[in-house]
Order: sequence, then structure tokens, then C-alpha cells
Amino acid sequence: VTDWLDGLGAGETPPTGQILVVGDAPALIARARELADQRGSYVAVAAPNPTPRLFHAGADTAADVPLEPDPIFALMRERGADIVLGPQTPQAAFLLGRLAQRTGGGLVRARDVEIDPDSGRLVCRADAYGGRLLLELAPNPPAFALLDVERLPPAVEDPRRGGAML
Amino acid sequence: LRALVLVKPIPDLQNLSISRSLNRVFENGPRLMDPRAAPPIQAAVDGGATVIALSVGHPDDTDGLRRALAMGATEAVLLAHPQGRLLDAAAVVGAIVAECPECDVIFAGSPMGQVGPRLAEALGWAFSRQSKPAPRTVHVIGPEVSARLPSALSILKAARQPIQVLEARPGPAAVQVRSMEVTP
Repeated sequence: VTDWLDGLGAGETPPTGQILVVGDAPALIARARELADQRGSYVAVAAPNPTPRLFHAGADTAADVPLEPDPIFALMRERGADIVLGPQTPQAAFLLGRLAQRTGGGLVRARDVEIDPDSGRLVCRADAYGGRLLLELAPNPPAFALLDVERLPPAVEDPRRGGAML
Repeated sequence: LRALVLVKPIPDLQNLSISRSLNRVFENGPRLMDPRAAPPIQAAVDGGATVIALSVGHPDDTDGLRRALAMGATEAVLLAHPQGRLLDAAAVVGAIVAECPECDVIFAGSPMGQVGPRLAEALGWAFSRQSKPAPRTVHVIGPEVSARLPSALSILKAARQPIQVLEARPGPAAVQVRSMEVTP
């Protein structure tokens, strides 16, 4: 079930998979847009009852799927997603935790994320020891990260921007 | 019903040494029980189960398990590894799956944690946020279940109870540390 993960191991060809955002938080989609632009890939969003606002924030495609492991896993496979971002909520933590285990990927509750310019892989910054230590972490692909939406810069939405509903 | 409760040992933040020159944090004492483990212990005890408290950590990380015993756990198991404090969630789940004591239900704390969901996925079990135990289910219990403080007598009794220490066989790590920096 994880055939599409072949070739995503450490040191492999730089990934060009899509970035999948779970949920409809505009700030998270906007952050994913920035990362996708850095690596030349696309942003897919999985959210129940998606609206055009997701495209205004930076999504290329949006899928109306329940936020449950099986449909999100199927969407990951369909989109070839190798990075999955979610908000720091119990529901997203449960979802991304299960998916990380299913795919062998790494999951980080991150302060921020960026793309390594050399490898194209996700790099996460996360606190340890109550914030006394700042770690730079590289989750195995597919890489999963939970971000605090309240700490992200607000999305600059462009109403002229469109996308495809899947 | 045999309930496994996951008890994460966490550093004592009041007992750290920070070296800016070495860019490291040193733990000066034993690790403590993550307070988020208290609600699931209480839920398992209140559910009438035989409660097995389980930690994955360094061989010295027994304080949390003693606390769990004082709260009413029946048995305590430590999956010990010299690098046990450095294992990521995937490695911890691998260790638990490799040496999982026989149980019907698993309780975990920390609704934002990933060990509970990963374990449910690894075992093919259901996942629930309800405290009433259901077979073959990983229950993640948050602070909505209030835990009672153990009595002094329970703490003294727990200090004499045995803790089963098994060698941990961690799974492969899923996250690599690239760098670390002591914050200003």
C-alpha cells in the first residue's frame, strides 16, 4: 500500500511530491504555499466542505474528504504527497499520528517548518526541555508536521486565485 | 480486563543544567511521571481493570512507574534502553509492540501526543477518547478525567513494589536531529 513511497528515503532523489494540508486553516495553507513555491510543487488541501477561500490562501487543489485516516491516506497516495501539514489539534494529532505509523514517516509538533534547499525535504524546528533547547529535526518522508496556526503569520488571501475541486 | 497504561518519563525541568558553551542541556536527576499520564491511570483504575503501567526509557526511569503504582496500578513494567531518553515516538512504539504485555485495552495520556495513535495503527486497534474501557482499543484520556492524589501510605507501599525491567527493542527512528541550540 505504500508503493508511492519508494524512492523517498534519505539521500534519494530530491522529492517533488505535493504538500497536503489537513484542515482549512488559511494560515497553514499559506505556509504550505510558501514551502511548495520553494520546491516547485503543489498544495493540496483535504477539508470537509471546502470553499474557494482555500484557493485564495494558496491551495492548488481541494478535496472534500472526512478527516479520517483511510480517506486521507488515499488522498496522499493519489496526490503523491510527501509532506503533510496539520494544525496542532487533538484531531489532527490523532490523524497524522496514525498516518505516520502507516507510512513509516516522521511526525513533529513543530514551532516552524522550512524546506532544506539541498534535499528539498522538510525540516522542522521544535522546542525541547520546556523551550530551553531548540531542535532542528528532519522527519523521515513522508514528513508530517503539526503547526500552531495561531503562531503562523496570517494568510494574505488573493480572491483572484483559483484552483481545482477534486 | 487487563489495561496497559502508558507512563511517559519526562525531565524534571527544575533540575536541569544548561551549558551554553557545550550547547547542551543536562538532566541532573531522575525523570518524573508525565502528569498527563495521571488521568489515564485514574480512568483505568476506576474502570476496574488490572492495570499495568508501562514506561519506555532509561534504566533509571522508574519514578513515574512508582507514582503509577501509588495511584493504583497493579503491575509496573519498564522497557529499558541506555538511549531510552532519546528515542522518538516511532522507536518507542516499536519497543512497545515488541514487548507488549498481554492486555485487552491500552490507555494513554497527552491528547496531542503521537504514541497513542501510532500504537493503535500498529496494533490495528480502535482509537477512542472515551474513558470507559473497550476491548482492543487505545484510549487517549485528557484532563477531563481528574486524577486523585495518592495517599502517603500508597506512596510508601509503592516504593517497595517490584518493577519488572525488560530490555527494550526500539523500532527504527522516524525523526533525525540535525542540530540543537540552547535558547537565549
